[in-house]
Formats: sequence, C-alpha cells, structure tokens
Amino acid sequence: MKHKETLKKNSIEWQPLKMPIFLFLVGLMMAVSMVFASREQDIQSQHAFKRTEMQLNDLQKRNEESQKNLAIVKTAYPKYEQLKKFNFFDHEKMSLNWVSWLKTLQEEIKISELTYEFGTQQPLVLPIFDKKTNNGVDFFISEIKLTLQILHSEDLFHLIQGLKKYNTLPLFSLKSCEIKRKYPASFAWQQHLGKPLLETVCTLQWYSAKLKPLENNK
Amino acid sequence: MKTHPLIYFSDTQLIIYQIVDKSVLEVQRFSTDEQGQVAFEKWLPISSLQAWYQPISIVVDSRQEEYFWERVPHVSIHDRKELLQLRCRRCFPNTPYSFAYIQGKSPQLETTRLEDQALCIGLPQPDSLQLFVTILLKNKIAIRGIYSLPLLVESITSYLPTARYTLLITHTEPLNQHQPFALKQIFLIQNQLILSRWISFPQQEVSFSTFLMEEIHKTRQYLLGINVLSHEHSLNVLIFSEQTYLNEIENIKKNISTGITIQSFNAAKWIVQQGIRKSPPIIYFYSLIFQQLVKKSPSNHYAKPFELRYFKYFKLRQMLQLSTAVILIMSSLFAGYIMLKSYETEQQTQQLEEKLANMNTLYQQTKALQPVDIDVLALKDTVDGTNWLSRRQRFPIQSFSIISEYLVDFPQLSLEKLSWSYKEEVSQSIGGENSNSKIQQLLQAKRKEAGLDESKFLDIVMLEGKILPFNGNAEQALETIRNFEQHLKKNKHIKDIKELVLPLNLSPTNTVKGNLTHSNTQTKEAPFSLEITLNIP
Repeated sequence: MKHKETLKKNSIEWQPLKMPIFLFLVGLMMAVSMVFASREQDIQSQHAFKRTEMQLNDLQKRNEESQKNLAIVKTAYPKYEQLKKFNFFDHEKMSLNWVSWLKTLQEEIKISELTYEFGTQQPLVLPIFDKKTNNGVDFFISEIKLTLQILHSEDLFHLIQGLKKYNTLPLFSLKSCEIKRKYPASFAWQQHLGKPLLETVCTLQWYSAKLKPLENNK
Repeated sequence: MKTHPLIYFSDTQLIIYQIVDKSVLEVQRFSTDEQGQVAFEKWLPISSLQAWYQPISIVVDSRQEEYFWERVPHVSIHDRKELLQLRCRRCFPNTPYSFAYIQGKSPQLETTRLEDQALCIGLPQPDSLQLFVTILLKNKIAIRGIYSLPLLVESITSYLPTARYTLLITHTEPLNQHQPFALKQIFLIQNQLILSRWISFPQQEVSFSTFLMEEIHKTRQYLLGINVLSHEHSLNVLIFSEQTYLNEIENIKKNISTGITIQSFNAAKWIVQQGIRKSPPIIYFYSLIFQQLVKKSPSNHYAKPFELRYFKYFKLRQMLQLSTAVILIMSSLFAGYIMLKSYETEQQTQQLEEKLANMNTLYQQTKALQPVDIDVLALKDTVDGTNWLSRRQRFPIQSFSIISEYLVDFPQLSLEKLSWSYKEEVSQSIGGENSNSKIQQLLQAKRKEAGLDESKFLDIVMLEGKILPFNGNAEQALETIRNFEQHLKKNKHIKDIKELVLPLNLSPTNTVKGNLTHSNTQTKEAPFSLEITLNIP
C-alpha cells in the first residue's frame, strides 16, 4: 500500500510532458502561421488577379471603343477634312465662297445680270439625330435668292451644273425655281440679239455647321 | 528498427529481454531477492532501457498465480466490469494484482437465469513484484502492462493444433540452480485458459518420460475432479520440448492410456517455423508469446492505473508528437496547396498583366491615330448629317428635261412661266399608322440610325402659258392641252397632272356667258396652267 501511496502523491508529472507540449504548441503556432500566411498570400494574389482582370476588362472596353472610333475616323475623317477645306464649319467664309462661285459662273456663262440675296442662318434639326442626344455638331441652313436675267433656260442649267462643280460636296439644294418670259411670245428677239429674254428667280439652300467645344479625350 | 523491452518475472528471477523484430534476446538477469533488487536498482539507470524510448511489458510466470474458474450472472456490459471487480476482490482480497474476464456463456444451464463463465486470476503474494515495479516507476520507466504468461497463451492458440481440451506442456525457467529443470502446464478449453501449473522435475529420481506421464495423469485427474474435463472427452496434450527428450516422449506415446492424446514438438524448430528467428534456450515457446505480446499489445492484466502513469505519459507524448507531426504535415500540405493555388493565380495575373501591357500599347497606338481637332462623336454626326443632307439634294433639271421632251411636239403651247419646287412626302411607317409595336419602332429606329431616309421627294412643276395660235377655238385648245397631258402621262416619272387653268376656265362656282352669233370674238386668248407632279428618284 505504501508503494501506491508514494506514487499517488505526485498527481501529474509535467517534466516528461513539457517538451512535447512545447513542441506541440510551437508546431501548432507554426501550422497556424503557415496556413494564415499562405491564405494571406492567396488572398493578395486573388485581389491582384481581380484588380488586373478588372483593369484588363476596362481597357478592353476602351480599346474596343477606340477601335470603333478609329474605324469611324478612318472612313469619316477624309470627308471631315474635305468639309473643313470647303469651310463647312465657317459660315462667313462659306458665304464668301458662294459669292465667288456665283461671280465666276456669271462670267463663264455670260449671264447678263445676276443678283443674290443671302437669308439669315437658321438652325437645322436633322431628324436622324435624336433630339435628346447631345450631338457633337450643330447644323444650320441658309438661303440665297438668286435673280438672273438669262437668254434661255440652258443658262440656268449651266449655272446649276457650275455650282455643283464648285461645290463638290453636294451640300446645297435648290428649293424652288421660277422662269418667266420677260416679253410676250410675239417679241421679235431676232431684232434684239443678246437681250435677256427670261427672268429667273431661284431659291438655293446651303448648309453649314458648327462644332461643339471639344470634350476631353478619354 | 524498434527495440521493445520486456521483463519476464518468475518467483525467483527477473529476466530482461529485448524483442527486435522477430528475435528475442536476453539483456540482463536478476534474482528477485533483496540482492537482486539492489542490483536491479543500480543497473537500471545505466541500462539502455530508457534509451530505447519504449515502454516495458512485464510478463509474470509465477507458481503462486491462482485461478478461479466460475460462473457469474449474465449482466450488461456496463455492470460487468463492476461485477468482475467484486469477484476479484472476493477471490483475492489481499493483493492488488488480480484480473477477471468473461470467457463466454456458461455451458451448464442449471437455472433459468443466463450465466457467463468467468476466469479470475491473481497473485496472492505481490510484494516481490511490487518492489520491482516501484523501482521501475522511480526510474520513470513506462510500464505498458503487467501480464499473466498463461493468459497470454490464448493469443497464440491460432498457431496450435485445434482441440476442445488442450494441455500445453513446455519447459520454463528453472527455479534455482538446485532445481534446474522445470515444466509449465497450461490447460485450455476451447483455446481459453482454465489453469496453469508449474512443475519442478527431480532429474535424479526418475526418467523424464515417466515423470511427464505422471504429471499428465495428475493434471487429468485434477481436471476431472473439478469437473472441467469429462471422461468422454480426450485430453489433447501438446508437448514442446527439446530434441533430446522427444525420443523418450515418442516411446511413451505407445503406452498411453485412453482419454489422452499426445502431440510432441521440437520447440526450437517449431518457433522457427512460426517465424521467430532467434530465441534464448529453454523458453523457446515463450519467445512466440513475447513476440505476439509486443505485436498485438493486448489489454493489461495486473497493472494498476497508477503503475501505468508513465505509460500514459508516454502515450500522451506520442499523441502530442503525432499530433504535432500531423498538424505540421496537414498545415504544410494545406499551405502548400494554397501556395500552389496562389502561384497559379500569380502566373495568371502575370499573363493578364502582359496582356494588359500589350493591350495598353495597342490602345495608345489606336488613340494616337485619332484626330485631336474633333471629337469622334462630332465627326460621326457631321458625316452622318452631311450624308443625309446630300441625299436630299434636289434640282429641277431632270423634271424640266422630261417636260421639254413633250413640249417639242406641242408648239401651240406657248409657255409664259415655268416654276419648279418640290415637296416632301413622308412615307407611311411600316405597319400603318398604328404601328406602335416595339419591333416596328425598333426597325424604324434602326433605319433612322442607318441614315435611311423615310422621305420621298416629289417635284412640282407649274406650267403657265397660252395656246398660240388660238383663233377662238377653245375646243381645239382644250384638246391640245389634253393631248399634251395624255402624252406626258406616258412618262413613268409623271405622277399627277392638275389642270389649274384651262382656256375656258370653267368651274362650278363661275358663270359662263357667250354669243353664239359672234363666236370668234368670245375670247381673245386661251391661257392654261398645269401643275405636274413628278416622281424623280
């Protein structure tokens, strides 16, 4: 019984357990640290991946848009340059162009008398554009009333053809035209050679535009 | 290779063996008297027992071990432990080293109550064993368990020939130098221990075979006496001995009485057949028991919980070490897996970054190609708008030409005034006026977006003139005009002709007067005015 009693006094001997418990705790801490560190690393990699993916998607969209824009530019820019050359965006210069063309044509076709009258510039809403959309350009319409004293109707046609020739961009149109005999049918024109027999009044419409201020490029 | 220490404890000796794989090697031998205890106590700290880092098993092979084979009431497992403890205390009131277990159901059912067959074994004089155990515990040696050697025989019965009643006879460690030859008899019923006997052989007096037969008969008589063996059944005697005695045994087999069957084995050869490579002499048979004990780790027989405390620490240490290893391995694997995943993600990110860099270069290049003086939207709107305006360009030349072609054939029609204008006829939307369905709206929007004009232009030419010469013949004048109209209508571009003014200019609202006597003087002129609508594409 003594044998049992002496042994029972020491309930738990920690000495043989100290090192394994210490190692277990160290191992546990290492394990937790390893898992935590790797998890943290993984989370960071995932975040980096998602961030890059988002950047790529964003850039992809911008690039697609840019490609589309480039396609538009490729097809539209030459025409824009042509329009610019013809002062399509400069109403004042365009008006001077018209006067210059008319004067040249009068001399070429030998129109005895040609008077012009520029109307006011009016904003033009094109139905192809949605009114709500903020278009990048505003269109305008102007009228020129031309009064011609001509020998025969071909002179008017020559004038129209001439205007078409000068204005290679067909950005004008005739609204109306009226040819009136100046003298009765019995008028002996043979006795008055070179005298204009017809009076023509034509209303011509021409278009111009104004670019809205340039937005910041994306 | 692991070395398992084992103590063979008999009444006079304590032998330390080491079991390495399938070899049993003797390490040290001590007597169980005071001298032996002192020597053991001195030897233990310098021994290699602790260096093996393995718990020690104590196998008791004592003459004093007693066996009580009795029936106990059949109770639930929960109560069985308590019942067996009570039986042990009753059978062995003065020793801590006792053990009881249920061998199965009792074969004799005398009452209606179910009964189990239990075996209680114990060491009535535990002092010597206790002293050695105390020395081991003082040296903090983990004791796996204290086992009864005869009871351990049950674990090797699968190696023995099968029989209902088996009497196993083998050589055992001698008691002392004066009695150098001893035998051990172990009786089993259906491979379960009933009792064991230790026999000392007086070599000088009789021959081995005669002595052996006498002891077999004695044991048989005893077994018959205590009713564990019946006359109807044969006692299967298995003798494990040395080659020198086997010849004698073969001789006595011829004169054997009924009720006994003898089988003899060369113990040294037999254990080699069972896979034991090396064994100390005499205890060949025990070597197999020791090897099986180390291999199978059966439940402890005699050791008390406080004696197993260092074994518990050992197990706890093992568990902690194993847990540490498992935790580290698992966490390493898990961390490795996550790191691998992370590495793959990093690789993917790198690929994406490369893609991003390439795309960025492409984007910058594309962007550089875009004009700086105009916004792309404005550019598109400008071009779309000008295209739309271009399609609406109208001129009178074609309409005038068509009409001129026909006027050549009608010189009587003298023109005074020719005017041209156009009107826009908006074509009906697809699906009629009530085309409010989403599909139709969408189609129209698409057409609009594509710049397809919904409008149709009609040229309007007004011809104003007179019929020359007229000569007052209004009918002819009207006919001329109507002929002209009919000719004109043949042209596919002519859509409509309206007569605005005709020579007589009759209308339901005006009155007409005339003098039929002087018909030529009725009207001097025959004016006309026509509105011609042309559809010039």
